Amino acid sequence: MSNSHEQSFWSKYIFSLDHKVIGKQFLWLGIFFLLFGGFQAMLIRWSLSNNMEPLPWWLLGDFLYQSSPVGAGIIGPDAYNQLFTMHGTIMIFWAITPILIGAFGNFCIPLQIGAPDMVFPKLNMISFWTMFLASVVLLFSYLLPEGTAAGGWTSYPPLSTPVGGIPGQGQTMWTLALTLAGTSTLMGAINYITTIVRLRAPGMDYFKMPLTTWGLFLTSILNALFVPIIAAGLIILLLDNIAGTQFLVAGSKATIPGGDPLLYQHVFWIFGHPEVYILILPAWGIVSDLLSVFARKPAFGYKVTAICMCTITALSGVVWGHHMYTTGMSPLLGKTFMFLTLLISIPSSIFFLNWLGTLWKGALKFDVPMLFAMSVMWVFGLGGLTGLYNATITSDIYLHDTYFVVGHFHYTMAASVLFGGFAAIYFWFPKMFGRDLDPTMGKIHFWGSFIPLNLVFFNMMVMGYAGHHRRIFDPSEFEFLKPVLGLNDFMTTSAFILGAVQVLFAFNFVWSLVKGKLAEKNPWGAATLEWTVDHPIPHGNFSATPQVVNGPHEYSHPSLKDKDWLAQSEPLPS
Amino acid sequence: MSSGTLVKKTAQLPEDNFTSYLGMIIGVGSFAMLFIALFASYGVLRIRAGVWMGYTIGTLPLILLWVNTVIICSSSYILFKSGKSIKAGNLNTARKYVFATLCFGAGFLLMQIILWNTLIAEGFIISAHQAGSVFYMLSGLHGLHVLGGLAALMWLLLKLTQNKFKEKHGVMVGMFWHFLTVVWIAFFILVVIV
Repeated sequence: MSNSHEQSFWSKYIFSLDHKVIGKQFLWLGIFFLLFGGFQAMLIRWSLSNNMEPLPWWLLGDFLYQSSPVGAGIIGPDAYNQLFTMHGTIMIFWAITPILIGAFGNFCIPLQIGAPDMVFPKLNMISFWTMFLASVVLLFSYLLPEGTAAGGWTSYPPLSTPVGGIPGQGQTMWTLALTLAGTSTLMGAINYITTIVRLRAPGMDYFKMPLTTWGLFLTSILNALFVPIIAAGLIILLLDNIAGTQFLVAGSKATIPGGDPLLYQHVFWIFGHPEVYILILPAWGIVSDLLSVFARKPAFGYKVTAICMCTITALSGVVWGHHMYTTGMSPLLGKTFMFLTLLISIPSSIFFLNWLGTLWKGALKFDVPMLFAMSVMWVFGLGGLTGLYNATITSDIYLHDTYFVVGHFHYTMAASVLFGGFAAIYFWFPKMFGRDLDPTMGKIHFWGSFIPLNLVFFNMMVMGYAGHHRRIFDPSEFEFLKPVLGLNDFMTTSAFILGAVQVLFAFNFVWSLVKGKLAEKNPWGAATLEWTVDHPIPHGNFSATPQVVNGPHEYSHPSLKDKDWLAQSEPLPS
Repeated sequence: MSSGTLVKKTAQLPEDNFTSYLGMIIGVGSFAMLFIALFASYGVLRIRAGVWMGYTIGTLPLILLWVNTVIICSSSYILFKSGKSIKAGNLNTARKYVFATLCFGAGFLLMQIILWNTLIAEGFIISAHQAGSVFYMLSGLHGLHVLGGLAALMWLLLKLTQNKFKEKHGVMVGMFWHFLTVVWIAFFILVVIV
C-alpha cells in the first residue's frame, strides 16, 4: 500500500497499532508457547511411563535436568510438580488464550464487522506488550534456584503459600506473570466489546454478525467481568507469599487464626469456571461459521445458536461450586450447583444439534479447516458428555481429582479449543499472510493429531476410572494401578506421536509463510466481510465502508448463477 | 493517500464521546469487580474469624482516617465543580479546580503514608493479624489506584493547559476519580467503622 513504506520497521511490525499486526504478534506468541507447553507434556508422559529414567536425546536429555538431585537428565518429583503446573498454566493462559482470543479476536473482529480497526488501537498495542512482559516474567521463573511454580495450575493454598507449601520464589513469579497476563486480557476485552458495540458497519445488526464475532464478544464480556476476580485472588495469594499476611493460610500452619484456604478456591473458580467458557466460546463460534462455509449452506438455527451461547455465558457465572463438591459444602448448596451445572447441557445440546442441522444434506467439502471443525464436534461432544459425570455429585465424589477429570478437561479445553484454533489457523492463514498453508501437510497434521489425541485423552478417562490420581508421580508404585500400566505406556507412545506431528505443523506454518502457494482473495468462497478485502489488507481495511445487507451465511442461494455464495455486503442479483 | 502526506498512525476511527465513555465504563466496571471480590473475601474472613481486632482499637490514631475521608470527598466535590465550569465554558476556572483536586489527591496520599507509618509504629502491621492484612491490602491497593488517578489528573491538567482539551477527557478522568472516592467510602464504612 502506498502508505506502508513510510512507517519504520519498528512502528510497522513491533509497536504496531494495526489490529492485524497485533493479531499476528499474538499468534506467534501463542504458537511458541503451544510448542513449549506441548514439550512439557511430552516430559510429563515420559516421566509417567519411564519413571526416574534419564531422558532420551530426542527429549533433549543431554541438556535438561543436568543438575537434577536424583541424577543427570532425570525428572525428580519436584521437577515433575513444576512440569504439570507450568504445562497447565502455559497451555491455558499463554497458548490457547493468545491464539483464540488474542490472535483471532484481533484479526477477525474488525474485519468481520466492517470496521477500520479496533476502537482503541493504543490500548490494543499495550495489551500485547503487557502479555509479552508477562511471558518474560513467566520464563524468568524457570531460572530461579528452586525452579518455577509447583502448586498445580490452580495453585491452591497451602501448596502455593510459603507456610506449609512449596518453597521458592517460583510461585511469586507465577502470580505476577498471571496478573500481568490478566491485565492484558482485560485491555483486550475493553477493546473488543467497545469495538463490537460501536464500530459495526451500517446494516450489521447484532444478529447479522458472524458467530465467530459472537463467540469473541461473549468471551470478552466474561473476561471483563471475571478476570478482575482472579486478580483479587492473586493479590491475596501474592501478599501471603511476600508480605506475611495470612488470608489463605489456616490451621496449625498459621501463626494467627482465621485464614481460609477455601476462600482461594471460591475466588479461583468464580473466575475459573467462566474461564473455560472464555476459552471455548470463540472456538464454538469459529466452528459454527466454518461448518456453514464448508457445508455450503446457511448455519442451521443461526439466531438460536447465538442465543444459546448467550445463555451459557450467563449460566457460566453461577456454577463454580461444581469444582468443590469434595470440600464439605452443604448438600443443599451442592445440589444447587449441580442443578445449575446440568442446566448448561440444555443450551449446549441445542447448538450441538444446530451444528448437525448445518451439516445435514450439506454439500460437504473436506478441506483441512473443515476436518478440524468437524473434529471439534467429536471431541467437544465427548468432553461435554463426560462433563455430566463430573457435574453430578454422586459420581464426582468418586471421580474427583482422578485422570477422569484430566481426560474430561483435556477433551473440552485442550482438544476442542485447540482444534478450533487449528481450524481457524488453516482457515484464515490465507487472509492473514496472503499464502495458503500446504493442504497435504495439513491433512497429515489433522489425522496425526486427531487419532493419537483421542487415544491419549480417552484412555486418561479409563485410567481415572481405574483410580489413577491426577498428580501421582509414579503410577507403577501402586498395586491397584498395575492392571492399567500397559494402557499408561500406550498413552505415552500416542502422546509422542501427537507431539511429533505438531512439529510438522510448525514446519508447515513457517514453510508456507515463505514458499506457500499465493492465496486467492476468497479461497473458501466464504460470505463474511473479511473475505471482501484485498491482499495485503491495507491499513484501515476497507476502501469504502461496507453496507451490510445479508446475514453471515448466504450460501447456495437459489437465485445465484455463477457462484454459490453472497458476501454480506453484496445485494442479491435481481 | 499520496506518499507525500503524513502517515496516519491509526485508521479513521470515530471519536464520539459515547465510544470513549463505554470503554471507560467497562474499565471502571472491571476495577469495581476487583474491589467487590476483595471486599467479599474480607467479609468471609471477618465472619469466620469471630474475634476480629486482637488489640484495643482506642489506642490507634484513627482520626487520620476521618480526615482522609473528608479530603477525598472534598477532592471529588471539587472535580465535580470543575465539570460544571467546563459545561459553562469556563476553562480557566476548570483548570484551577482540577489543580485543586490534584493537590487534595496528593494530600490524601501523603496523609495515608503518615497514617501507615503511625500505625506501624503502634505495632499494627500487615503480618500481625488479619485486621492488619485486610487494612493494608485494601488501603494499599486503593492508594495505588489513587496514584494512577493522580497521573490521570495531571494528564487532564496538561490537556487543559495546552488547549487540547475535549469534554470527554474531563468526564473520563472524573469517572475514575469518583470511583476511587466510592471505593474509599466503602472501605471506610466496611473496614474501619463496622
